[in-house]
Amino acid sequence: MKMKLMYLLLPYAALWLILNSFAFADVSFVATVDRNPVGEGERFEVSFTLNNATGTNFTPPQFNGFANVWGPSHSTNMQIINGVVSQSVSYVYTVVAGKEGNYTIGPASIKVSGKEYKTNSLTIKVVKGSQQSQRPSQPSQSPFSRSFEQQANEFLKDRLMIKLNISKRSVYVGEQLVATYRLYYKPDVDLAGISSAKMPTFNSFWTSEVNLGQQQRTSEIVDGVQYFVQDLKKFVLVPQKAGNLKLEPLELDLVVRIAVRSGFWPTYENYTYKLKSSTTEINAIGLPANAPQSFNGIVGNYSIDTKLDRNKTVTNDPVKLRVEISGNGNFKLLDAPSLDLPPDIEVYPPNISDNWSLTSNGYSGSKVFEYLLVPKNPGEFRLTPLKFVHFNVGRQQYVSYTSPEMILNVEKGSGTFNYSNYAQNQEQVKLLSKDIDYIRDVPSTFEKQGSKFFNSLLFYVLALSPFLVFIVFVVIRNKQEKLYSDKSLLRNKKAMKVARSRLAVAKNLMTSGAELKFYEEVSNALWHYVSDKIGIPFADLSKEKIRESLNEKPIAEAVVAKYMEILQMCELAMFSPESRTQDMQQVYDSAIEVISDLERKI
Amino acid sequence: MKSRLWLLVILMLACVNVINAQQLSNDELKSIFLEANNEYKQGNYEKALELYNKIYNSGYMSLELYTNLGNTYFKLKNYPEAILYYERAKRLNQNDERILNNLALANLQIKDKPEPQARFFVTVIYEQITGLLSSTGWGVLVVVLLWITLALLISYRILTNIFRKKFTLVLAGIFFSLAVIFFVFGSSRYAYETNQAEAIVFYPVVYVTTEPKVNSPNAFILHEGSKVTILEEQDEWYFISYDKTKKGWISKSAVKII
Repeated sequence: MKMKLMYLLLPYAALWLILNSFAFADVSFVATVDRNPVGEGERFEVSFTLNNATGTNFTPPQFNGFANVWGPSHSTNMQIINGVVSQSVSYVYTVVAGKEGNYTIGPASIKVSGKEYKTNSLTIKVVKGSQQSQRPSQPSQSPFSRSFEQQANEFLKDRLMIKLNISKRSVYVGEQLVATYRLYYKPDVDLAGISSAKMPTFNSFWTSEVNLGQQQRTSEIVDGVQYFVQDLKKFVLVPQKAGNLKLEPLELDLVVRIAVRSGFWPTYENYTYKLKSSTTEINAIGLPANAPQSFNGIVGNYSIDTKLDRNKTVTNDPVKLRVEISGNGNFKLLDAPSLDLPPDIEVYPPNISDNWSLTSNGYSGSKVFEYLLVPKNPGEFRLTPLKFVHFNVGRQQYVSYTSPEMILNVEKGSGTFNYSNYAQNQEQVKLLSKDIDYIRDVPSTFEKQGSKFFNSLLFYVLALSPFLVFIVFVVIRNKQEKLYSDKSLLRNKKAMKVARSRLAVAKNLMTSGAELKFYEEVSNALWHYVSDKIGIPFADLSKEKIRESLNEKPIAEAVVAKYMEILQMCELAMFSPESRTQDMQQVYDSAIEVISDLERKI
Repeated sequence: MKSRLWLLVILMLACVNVINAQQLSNDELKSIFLEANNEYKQGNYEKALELYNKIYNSGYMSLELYTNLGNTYFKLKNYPEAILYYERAKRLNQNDERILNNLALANLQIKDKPEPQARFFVTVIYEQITGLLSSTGWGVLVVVLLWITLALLISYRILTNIFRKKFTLVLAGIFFSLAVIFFVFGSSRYAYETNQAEAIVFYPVVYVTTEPKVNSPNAFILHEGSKVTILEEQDEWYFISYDKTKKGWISKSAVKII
């Protein structure tokens, strides 16, 4: 029973979990206007947007001093980006501006789960005449209207801008400031990307570009108008000389997708829009003249700490001196301070660790220098190794720091010092020597682009033709064999006949006394008979072959032996008349006997 | 009648060959290539680029041409183009250490750093094996093996000795299986070489959107030189993935296909 209940509850629990997993962002309630300023008698929209909540009891403000007000119309918008839900409800009023002047629209209020939220108040500037009598609308491609370019330019003119944001306008020479170029665009502008950018050059500044990495666009309200904001470039700048220094503008070619109404459906066209940021001047103040002797141009808000890791050691056993400089300043240019030590102590280049990062005020954090001190001789040393002078921006004066006195007791020790055990920068050396591999000197043959042998017709023809050739071969071969076997079958049947007629001829020869001819004929009869019977062409025949093939058949060995014997005898008789020992009649009879014996078995 | 048809086919094939025949001969291409190399050696990268592109624009390619183009663009600090050509060279020989090294160095110069992807070791080994030869190499090997198989089968049919017959049959079987395996390797290689589904971003900054239309929310931002995989295509848009996890739509004009 309990289990059942659980199953029933499970879907609800899941739903609850899903709903909870949507991380709702902060609740906010803002008032925006679609443009500002507006011309007399012009129409504009005022929106009150509640983000990430649903509210009740919406109370609109008074629209005093405006000619006409319609509304509100509602619109809801929901977005899920990277699993984060953002939801907004807007109340939109269409307002017609009245006479010239500044008008304030007070805050609107709404209740969200019992809590009241209020918007900011808006100041609308109404200017004389219709500043933009025809609102730039989406361009259309009718032949009567102006060119597409003109329309697109007009459409984008007040929808895109680059602002240069500067952390400080007035700085000392050597003090850092952060300059950020930001792209502002209205939500109805569809950006495809940036096709080219002309970087600003900063004369008389030390410059370091900050890697922005992956970043989300944010939204910002400027004069009541909502813009999407994207950081384009961020620089840390350090003026190198006093005076009014100019920051060059950033120039961009933005690719914007613009809907073109041609016919019923809009089509989209990529339009490249040139955009330039404004120029700004920075007031760089020269440093005061009363600089101490050891000042070498370090400017910032720094505090310094020095520490020795132990006070007792033996000769050749290194101690570490740790110098930590923390605060706010251009850490990138902060070199290791040089130490003032007695000649009995050797100093090695410090190991540097950076713990600073970029903040809105430039670089801040700390930088630690760890020096390796190797005492070469025993004794008691009183060290004041470091003197660090910098111009402190906060206090607006030169500050010099002297490290407190440190005591180091060194006793006589054995052993030597090996620096490589302590060196830690070997990896960097490896990286420095890395460059792209050199070009290839010798070209192989050039191929046509996109033409590949594999999968080409030629490839398949070459790959499949062996099969065809094989099939053709087999067919021809079979035909030939059939023909051959037909012939041999015929010969097999006729073999006895042929042998008989040959022997008959031999008999005639015997009676006429032509001995040589007789033996030849008998031999022929024997040879041809077996050749026809076993299906081997006469030309390919040898005695061994005959013996072999006869032995494969069920023939008594005595018969085979007899056959071979007669054959042998005939041959001998043919070539040497002396060996014709046997009577011709006897040879003739035994030949007939052997052939009839064979005939029975084969 | 039949033989005439064959004649016609052969004639047509010959015509195609004549049309295909190069406006530039292989020797001419070679001399342009060497000239470009000389310009590169003297540091005249602009001039070298012009000459290399002359070869490329006439419709020819080779591994050396792609690597040298990549190097030239690298020296001119045009990293997206350098990456594009190194990737193209990699397609022709994915085991070439020098190309991989150059590609890695070019990738260090761009903004977006993809997370290193863990890959199944079997896939890696398979790719290394198929990468031993180009698809053309595998194709030639397959053809040769099949013709050897043919020769073996014919001798099997002719031979009378039972042992020799068996031997040739086994051998033919081995050669045929090898041909089949190499055909599979060649197919993989061919698919890799002609894969149209990867592209390099060429706009300095691109907004990748969640829908293939205007006014759609931005999913993420890519910078020039990033390699994306094209999953789908629609009108003026590609649906792409970056890093396997991030997906979105990108304008076709913002990328160049490898």
